Amino acid sequence: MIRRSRLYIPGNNPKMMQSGKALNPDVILLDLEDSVPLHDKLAARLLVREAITFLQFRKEVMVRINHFPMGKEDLKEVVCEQVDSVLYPKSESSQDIEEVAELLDELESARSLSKRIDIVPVIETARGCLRCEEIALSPRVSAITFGAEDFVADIGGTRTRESLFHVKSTLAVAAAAAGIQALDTVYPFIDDEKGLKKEAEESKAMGFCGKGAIHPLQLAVIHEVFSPSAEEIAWAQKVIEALKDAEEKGRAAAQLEGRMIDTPTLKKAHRIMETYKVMT
Amino acid sequence: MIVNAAGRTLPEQIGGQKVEPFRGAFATPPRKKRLSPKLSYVKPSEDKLISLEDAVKNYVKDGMTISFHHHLRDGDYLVNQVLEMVSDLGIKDIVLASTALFPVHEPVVQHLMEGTVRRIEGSMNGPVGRACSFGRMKEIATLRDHGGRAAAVEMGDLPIDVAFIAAPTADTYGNCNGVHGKSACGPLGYSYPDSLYAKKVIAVTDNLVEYPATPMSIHQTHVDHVAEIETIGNPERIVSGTTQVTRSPTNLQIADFVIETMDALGIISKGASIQAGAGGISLSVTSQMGDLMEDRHVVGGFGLGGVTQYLVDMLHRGVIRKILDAQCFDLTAVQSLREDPDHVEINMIYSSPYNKGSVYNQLDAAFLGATEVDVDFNVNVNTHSDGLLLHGIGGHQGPAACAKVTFITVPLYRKRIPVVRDRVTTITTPGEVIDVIATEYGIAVNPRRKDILKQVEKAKIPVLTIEELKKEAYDLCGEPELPETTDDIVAAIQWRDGTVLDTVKRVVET
Repeated sequence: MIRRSRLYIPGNNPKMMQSGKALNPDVILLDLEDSVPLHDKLAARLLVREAITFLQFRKEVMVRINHFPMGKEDLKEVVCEQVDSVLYPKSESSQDIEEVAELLDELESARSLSKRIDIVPVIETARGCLRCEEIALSPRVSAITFGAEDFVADIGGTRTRESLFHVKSTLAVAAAAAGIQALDTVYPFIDDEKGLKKEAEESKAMGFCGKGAIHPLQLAVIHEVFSPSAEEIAWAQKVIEALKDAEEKGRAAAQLEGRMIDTPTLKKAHRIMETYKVMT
Repeated sequence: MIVNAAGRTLPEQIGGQKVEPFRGAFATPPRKKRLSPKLSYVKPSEDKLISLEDAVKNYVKDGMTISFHHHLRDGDYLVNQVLEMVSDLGIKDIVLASTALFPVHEPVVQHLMEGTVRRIEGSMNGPVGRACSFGRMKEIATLRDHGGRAAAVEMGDLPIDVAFIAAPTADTYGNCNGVHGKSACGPLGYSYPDSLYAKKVIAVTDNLVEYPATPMSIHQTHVDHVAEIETIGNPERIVSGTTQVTRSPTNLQIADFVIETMDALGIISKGASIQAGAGGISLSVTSQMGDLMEDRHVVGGFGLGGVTQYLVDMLHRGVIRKILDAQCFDLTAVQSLREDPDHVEINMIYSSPYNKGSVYNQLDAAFLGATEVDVDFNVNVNTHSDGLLLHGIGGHQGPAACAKVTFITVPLYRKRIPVVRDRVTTITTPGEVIDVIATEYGIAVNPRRKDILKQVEKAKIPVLTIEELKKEAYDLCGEPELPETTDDIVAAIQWRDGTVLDTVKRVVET
């Protein structure tokens, strides 16, 4: 599943939902949480449900629900065949995720869905950060992400590269250990293309495979960063060929352009080629 | 009744004139000679200065055709001033042959109601078009594109009695230009055919200078009189459309698809010449094309406009060699035309289909807008889906007919009404000359252009059929309702060769 970008669309804005259908994020993220005021929550649930079933987005549909208990009502309204994943905010423990998974089990069964909806927990607190590993290993979790603004508010800091480094690093390592995707938070400055690119490149280097977008204008930069470049693809092909040759000769390692390559390099090469294949 | 080559049923006659039906984009060769106005002479001691009041009083009579240009667009003051004088003199049944009318010309509606003006031959943008749609005009209007109008004037299909030419600068002997003076608006090319063929030509200026005024966009040899008035208009209002690159994500996506298609077709290359207009999508295409050409160190040919700051920027960055300017859409363009020798004024005879080579024949690509497009690739720019005639043809038909590749850039729907549909309300430009429809959902290539279809196969853009685009629009918005009209014709839409492409019906007032 390719998740280079996920475009946040407020759940109470039908015009943006229609536009979102024409745009090309990897994931359409319909938001019932922070972008929807309290008095609009009920209407937004109904609207999101209608949009999901009517618009046929033809890409992954993710819904950001509210934290439980309000999120229970969100799930009851929106769970249907067209929903692929649920973004669960302020995840702080495996128990949180199990609670969501249980309700999903119940709703999927009652509605005879042919699929299993993924959960993508959002780490937004110090407690969540400390329990990242168990959250990443929880049932249905296929990716993990974090919310920068809530996190720095929780730790009493401000959003800087340094204040986010620990949570990003912890999250990326926990995701890798659990064999799931690490997804980067959003970049809040819509017109700052350079800043977005820099932050996305740093996150990619840390192991993240995608980033949230709060505006469609951010998608091109995010896709550019998180898509394998022509050089990366060429490199991955060479690695795969070199190690295949080596294997035929009974060796586990090989040399490529003066550098030793072995199993971890092959793993990285395969990951690049998998992303490339999904993209094309 | 006659069915023309675009499939529209037309009456045998419109407004008492036999209808020449549209036969195909290039199927009707010239069938007339040039009009030959009477020669005149001016003796050495004669003075050309006259007051505007005297010019109107002496030369405008009942039933005459009077003309104006629209270089000042929504900032033009002259049409209203002259018509007020005509009305005060009790003159009736005027044919108003302005190249285009804008919302500023709303007082024309009153002149239509009172019988001062009986018919309009020209583009109508806004309230005058709305009034025409509701049957406020005594006779049937005729709409032509810029080049078609020039041809009509040359052939005598649109004989002009008195041409009033708003001149930002004129000398005492009638040489005029639009690049100097407080009302500088750029070229004066829309009036050039009128200056050649009208029976009387009156230059009206708010910047009378000593002889000779240069450059000479309109020549002394064609001007009978020069009238000085306080102000001809407000050039700030030539910026009357969208003149900034779009920020709308879906419109930007349309622009991206156009750029990627152009790239796949090899158009973004050395010597490429383009028609660029106003409108956010078109400007985004222009801007992106400039960036790409600069990155690739490619120098294109010429840019044709509707000139905006973005085309000027391409010239100044050295990514195109020349601008051929028929109209300025902002004041940056006016300044560039005044100062840069590679920014050159052209007149509307360059746009005519009937001469020894239209400027449009040299275009590689044109990107144009529309209010509607249909599954036969027909394009409407005149009417809205409610049937109201709210826009002129402008420079749509010529570039579409002649450019190697013509793009129509449109959203799939506007305000929950499909833009891509089974049948356009009005055909402005026939589908046979349209090559690519670009929407935010992808592009559709006219099946006539198998060469384009083959070349875009490998481009990273969604290529759909026009029926698929239409289905997407209908799935989202439902099938559009047809406008409620009567059988009365209020306007005829001519193709650039003077044949009739379609008619506009009277809209029922609710």
